[in-house]
Amino acid sequence: MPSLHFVAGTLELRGTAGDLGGLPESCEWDRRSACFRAPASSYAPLVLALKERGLSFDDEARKYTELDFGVRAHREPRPFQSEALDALKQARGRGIVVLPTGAGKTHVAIMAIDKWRRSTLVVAPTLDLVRQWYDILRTSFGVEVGVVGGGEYSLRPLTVTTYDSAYLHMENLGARFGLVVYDECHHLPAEAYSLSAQQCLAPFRLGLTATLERADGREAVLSKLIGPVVYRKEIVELSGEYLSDYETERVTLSLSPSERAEYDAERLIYVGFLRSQGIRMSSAQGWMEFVQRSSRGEAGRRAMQAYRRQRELALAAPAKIEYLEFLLHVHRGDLALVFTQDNATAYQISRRFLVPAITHQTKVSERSEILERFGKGEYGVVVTSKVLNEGVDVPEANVAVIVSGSGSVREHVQRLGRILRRREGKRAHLYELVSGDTTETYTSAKRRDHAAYR
Amino acid sequence: MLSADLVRATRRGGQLHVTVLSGKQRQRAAELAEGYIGLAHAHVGDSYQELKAAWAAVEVAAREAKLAAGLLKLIEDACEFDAEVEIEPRQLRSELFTLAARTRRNLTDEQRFDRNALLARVGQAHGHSAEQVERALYSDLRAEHRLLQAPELDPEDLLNRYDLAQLQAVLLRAVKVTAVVSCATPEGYREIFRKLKFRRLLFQIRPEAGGTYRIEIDGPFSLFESVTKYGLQLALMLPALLRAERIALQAELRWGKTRSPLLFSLERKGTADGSEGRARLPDEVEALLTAFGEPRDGWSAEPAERIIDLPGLGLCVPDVRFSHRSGAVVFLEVLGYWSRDAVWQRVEMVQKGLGDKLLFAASQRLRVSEQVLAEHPSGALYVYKSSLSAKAIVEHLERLRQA
Repeated sequence: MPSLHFVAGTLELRGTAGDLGGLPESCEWDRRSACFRAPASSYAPLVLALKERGLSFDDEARKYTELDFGVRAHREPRPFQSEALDALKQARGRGIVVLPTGAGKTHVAIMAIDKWRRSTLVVAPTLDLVRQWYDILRTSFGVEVGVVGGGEYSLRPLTVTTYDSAYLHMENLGARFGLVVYDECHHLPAEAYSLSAQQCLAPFRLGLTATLERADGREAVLSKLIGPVVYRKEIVELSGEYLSDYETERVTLSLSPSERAEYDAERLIYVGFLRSQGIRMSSAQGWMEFVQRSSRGEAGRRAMQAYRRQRELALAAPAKIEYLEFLLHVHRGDLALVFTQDNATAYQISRRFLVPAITHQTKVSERSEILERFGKGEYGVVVTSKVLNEGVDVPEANVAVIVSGSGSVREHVQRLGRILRRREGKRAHLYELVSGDTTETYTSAKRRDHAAYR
Repeated sequence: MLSADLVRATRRGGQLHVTVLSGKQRQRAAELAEGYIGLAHAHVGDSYQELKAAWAAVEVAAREAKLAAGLLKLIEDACEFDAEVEIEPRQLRSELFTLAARTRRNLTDEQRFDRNALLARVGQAHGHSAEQVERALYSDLRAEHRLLQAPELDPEDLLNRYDLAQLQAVLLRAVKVTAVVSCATPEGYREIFRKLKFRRLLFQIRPEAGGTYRIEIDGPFSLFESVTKYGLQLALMLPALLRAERIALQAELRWGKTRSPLLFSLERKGTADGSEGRARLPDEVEALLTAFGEPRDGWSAEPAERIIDLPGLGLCVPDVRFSHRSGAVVFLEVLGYWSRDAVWQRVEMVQKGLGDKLLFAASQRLRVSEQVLAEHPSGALYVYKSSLSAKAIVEHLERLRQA
């Protein structure tokens, strides 16, 4: 009898003649192994086609299971969440839901898992989002949740992973899940990630995003990888929520005379090199050009070294650390998040003030524990580099200190957003520490170019 | 292994040419290698970041930067690092940060946060000093790991590794490899096919002139798209391919940030690094050929040069070709005592029809019975106790000849 197998992200239909007709287009005869082969994502149409032809076969491919549990904590869905689920049902469980940040996309996924009750893989872009999904799934379903990524590899009927780990492991995992949820699914069209979606046989697929459109226009491939956009609501349609009152304060700190002298000298070398090479950092290609040319000669290498040093002096100036000490003392009764541009500064602050740090090197379970204890008030301060910027729900904090950051408005607004969850009588404070008369002054002005700071 | 960005190569006419270390450059590379290995030995017991700082202090010219980075990568891969576990760091952080949070919250306006007192207090509870606590706090981070052992590597050995690693790093960006190989012994071919199976790569094979075989290698998904997904597996295959007596390899690449299509070609005779000799005929096969030095009952024997491939079912590489004066030919493959699965796979191949007559020799230790192919006209199974018997083999050959 013919048999269907999952082999390294593909499906092999064995034991049939090479001229078998009526199969989906994606199914091709493979001379290398004398069988029909299709991307694993063709599982549903292939099974359907075989059934329509009345061909009996052994399904050795499907390894996913039906869940023998459902949602433990029922929460009344908002009307648009119910509408999104209905739309997904109409599309036979394959589609994309576009909702603004904070509208509760996660709950739509919880409802979908509860509806289809198939072993589910949630794919998220960062380890922090993995941690967040891990917590939400565990709380919602009351079961242990598997994690693949960030040094962990535990598989369970509900498992969370990153896009990177999905790319690495889908050849082995692709048959084990009946539903796959792509969080922030606008990441999926990247070449490697899209391959992982094709190597997964899950017949049910849900994509979640607030920003579907990509600069490269590749969002078009999402309909093939996940399904069509089945539901969409824009931010203006869901407005009416209020944020906390807040104050932002920019603190400019001076470098010491010796730091200033070193900063100026290093900057001179760096800028001199840019001028001699005619590199304009304001152009789109400027940075890449600098990286390439800096590897070609002694002057270039020195310029790169100078660039790094002057940046280091501006971003982690001792005066900033001292001022941070003052702020932590003033806000010792509050819950404060400290943001840095790099891991080294985050660990420096952690050691100096004995506060927990979360960087990309922190394991998921430890991140989870730190944020949980921060939420309970057992920790008053958490220092983090860029990892808490996007999408992650951070327990309610009312103070944010930006020790260093990039010029990205998006990053800055996201950081501000971490402290704006509304509560009666709450007043949030955002401090931005800037080294005076350095390029950081410009970076700071650039990232504050947003209505939230006017 | 090196990453693709550490490969020293140039592009010319749609081809990627790897820069080979030779002459003065090789001499300079050996100096650097010696220096770096020496520094690793001098820093045993120090942290990863201290070792990195020592390596970074070695002056290298800009044109040597990629070479230096490649050598360091290989040395670092051969070093053994581990966390210092005097105090379990995660538990320590939890305890210390909780105490610090409580202390900070209870401070008055005038009081100042005293970290040293907290370090001492937690240390005391564990019977350690404040300095030990401070050292252990993030000892699980890679940068804080201690170098336990530096590699015992001769600079020339390292350069040989580097030569191979550069070629492997090129294949990380390969979407397909075509290798025309000639192995001196069946074992050489078997090693290649075992590795291909182990690496879950797919291939098509066909004989070419001069006793060579063309093997096209890629992965399951390559049927639909040219992907570099199998690059790592192809790179890991390379040492086995380079052990062939002769090899001409061509790889289709997607190179650089732009993933430009390029070709990479390589021709070799003999082993790549000289560290492993070419596969020899197994002793039991040599003994059998000696036993058939003179024809026995009209049968003479010679080493086989044939690969029998049945796509979807498997492949076998016979060791010996027996020919009878009547013109009959039977191949023998010695399966030894390694795998029962291999025996069942051969049985299935025979049952599906191989096109040639084959005798498989399997050790009694595999607990298989000759009965499974007792009456098959083109295949037979010979189960032997300790060594291959020429007499028993002739009996099987005769049965197959007359079937």
